[in-house]
Amino acid sequence: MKARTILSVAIIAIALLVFVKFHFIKYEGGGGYVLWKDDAAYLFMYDAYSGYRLSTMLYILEPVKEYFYAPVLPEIDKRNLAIIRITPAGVERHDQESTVDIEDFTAIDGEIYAHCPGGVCKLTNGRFQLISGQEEQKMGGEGRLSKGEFAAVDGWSKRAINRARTGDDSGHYEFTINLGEGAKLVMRGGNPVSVDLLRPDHPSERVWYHEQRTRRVSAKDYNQLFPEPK
Amino acid sequence: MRLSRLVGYVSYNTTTWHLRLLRVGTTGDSYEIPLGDWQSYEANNNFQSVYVSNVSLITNADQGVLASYEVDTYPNTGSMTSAFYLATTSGPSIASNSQVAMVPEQATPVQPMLQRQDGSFVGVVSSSVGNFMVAFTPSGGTLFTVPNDTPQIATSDNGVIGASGTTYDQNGNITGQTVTLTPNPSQSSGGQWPGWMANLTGSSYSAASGVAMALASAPITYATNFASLPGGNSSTQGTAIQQVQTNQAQGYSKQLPDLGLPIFCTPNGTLGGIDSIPLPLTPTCGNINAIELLTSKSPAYIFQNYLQTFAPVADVHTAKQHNSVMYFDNPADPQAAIHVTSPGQVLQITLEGFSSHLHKPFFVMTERVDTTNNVISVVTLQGHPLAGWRYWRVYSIGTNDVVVETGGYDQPGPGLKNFAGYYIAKGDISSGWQQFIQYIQAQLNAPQGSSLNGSLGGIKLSPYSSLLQGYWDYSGAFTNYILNNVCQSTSCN
Repeated sequence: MKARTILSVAIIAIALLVFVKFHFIKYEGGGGYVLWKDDAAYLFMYDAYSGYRLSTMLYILEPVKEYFYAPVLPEIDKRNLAIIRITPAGVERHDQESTVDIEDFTAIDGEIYAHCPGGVCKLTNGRFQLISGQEEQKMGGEGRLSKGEFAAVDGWSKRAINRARTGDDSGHYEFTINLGEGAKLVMRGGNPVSVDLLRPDHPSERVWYHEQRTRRVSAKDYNQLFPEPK
Repeated sequence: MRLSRLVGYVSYNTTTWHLRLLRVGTTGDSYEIPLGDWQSYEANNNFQSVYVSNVSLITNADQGVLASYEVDTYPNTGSMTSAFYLATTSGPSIASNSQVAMVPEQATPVQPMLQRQDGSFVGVVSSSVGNFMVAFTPSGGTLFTVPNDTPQIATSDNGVIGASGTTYDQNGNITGQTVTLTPNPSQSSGGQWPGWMANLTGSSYSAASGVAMALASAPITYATNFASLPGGNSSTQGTAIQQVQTNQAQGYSKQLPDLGLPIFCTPNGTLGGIDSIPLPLTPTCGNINAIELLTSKSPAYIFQNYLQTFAPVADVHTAKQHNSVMYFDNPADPQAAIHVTSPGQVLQITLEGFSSHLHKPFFVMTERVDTTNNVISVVTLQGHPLAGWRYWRVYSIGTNDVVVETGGYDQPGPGLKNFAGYYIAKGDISSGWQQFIQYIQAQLNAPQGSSLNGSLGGIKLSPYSSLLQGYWDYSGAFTNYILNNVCQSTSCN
């Protein structure tokens, strides 16, 4: 009888350790670039979510693994680029998922180009889309894309907005850009990262907010964000 | 009459004193450095005896030594005279050697004990009027004297602290008192002596008695030379050790694998699988990740944009890191982009974690940067969990068909933690490099080719293995292949 009880407890314990899962989402990124000219600005902001589905056993062992240079790796991750256009008339937002980050945002001849997986892409109807070889040749090719910041190039300026960081190196920052007609964009960072639009005679409008954190979520929420491939 | 010849004989004895320094080099080379020769003689009831004595040496920075010695002359008539000398060497030669007079009515040669911050010395000397602590130049010029004290610590402000605990400035003026040490301490019989920890706290350790006491005092900054303490170091054993109290910029030193050990690499560190007996030996393994990409981009383009910049693992300041295992920085300027152009460049690696960064960064240094063959290799530096090398390479195997690969050959770094981590983190290593090459694939939007089935560089892979996910070379078949990529030889260093 006693042996049976011990065996049952052991089976339940093993089942708990192996089959009971914990779900976590790690929110990362949160920074990006602001590109502006006159009274219009574009925010290109990165959001990323990493999903961890850990058994009880792995959850318990995670700090040990990390100590031995073997951190638990995410099961899946998702990257999203928020494209936010800000004018005195209002704020317009589009989201674009990507396997790797779209970057090197540059305004050339009134169009906004970037580097996308596969080559040069152009912002068209709120999305970056690869351009043809011919069009790429016409705009000057990949070499014309700017990796860093710039100021007043054909009236356009670009600044980086550092991603959210936790720990000692969170590095608080704040800067403002003027958009004309008294409108301002105020960027604040460290962790969280936020962007606020201030306009005369309007209440302050938060156009971006991102906090880096790791959060335990329900299996339902997890599967909603990371649906199983069908 | 025959005159006989008169022949006279005179007895004449001489004895010559030779005083030499013997310099022995680190490679076993040696040099005899002459300090002087003195002759004693005796002839026809006339004699003069010479004795050389009281030789003492102290290091002169890292240039040579300062020698102090006494030459006593006993003439036939009159009283004995003593002459005191100071000599300095430079390498295997004498730099100076002259008779000196440090104090009036000097009775003993100066015994140099410390070297001051400015390169002058401080020691003790006796005269018919008392004992003195004396500061002097290498050529014997007296800088100051202090009666009845003994130098114990040369300080960085060119001052000195006496055995009495009195602090003196660069001119020998009293500036204060540290602690009061036991009066008249003697290293041979015990007593309190300045020592460890850059102040007099705990400095009452007596080399002879073994007694430790705690005495509080303000921090003291030693002179940054090789003789700021008597006997050259806190233990007074005679070895001149440069005192360094400030954090100096640490140089990078390579952490190479010990290839003199038996070379083996087995899964999970066992003789034949997980159920076998774990081996306590140090494993040495090669591993490779590779991908074939069908792309119109040239190997040079991929090399310049993704390998020289380490873009797949570069620290991203605006978005999420590209790699979930690690990211690289330029340690000289973490905000700056990485651009590898030559050997000797240091890269900093930080591991990503589930919820935090548990480890401090570690470093590698570039060994080979070959822009013709599109290869970069690095060696691990001290503090890295591994000891070995890694290379990254891109090359063409056909029209619009390139291979991007990275391979490592390494052992665990020193210590049990690294030993255990070598096995525990194998999956993370493979995954990290898989993500590295897949990032390039994603950026190029290039489909994967299928020509790498079953072999790489003409070497067969073991069945059911995946170059993309990471191939562990348990058989050692790829050892020379990896090392050739690292250093163009099968013996790297």
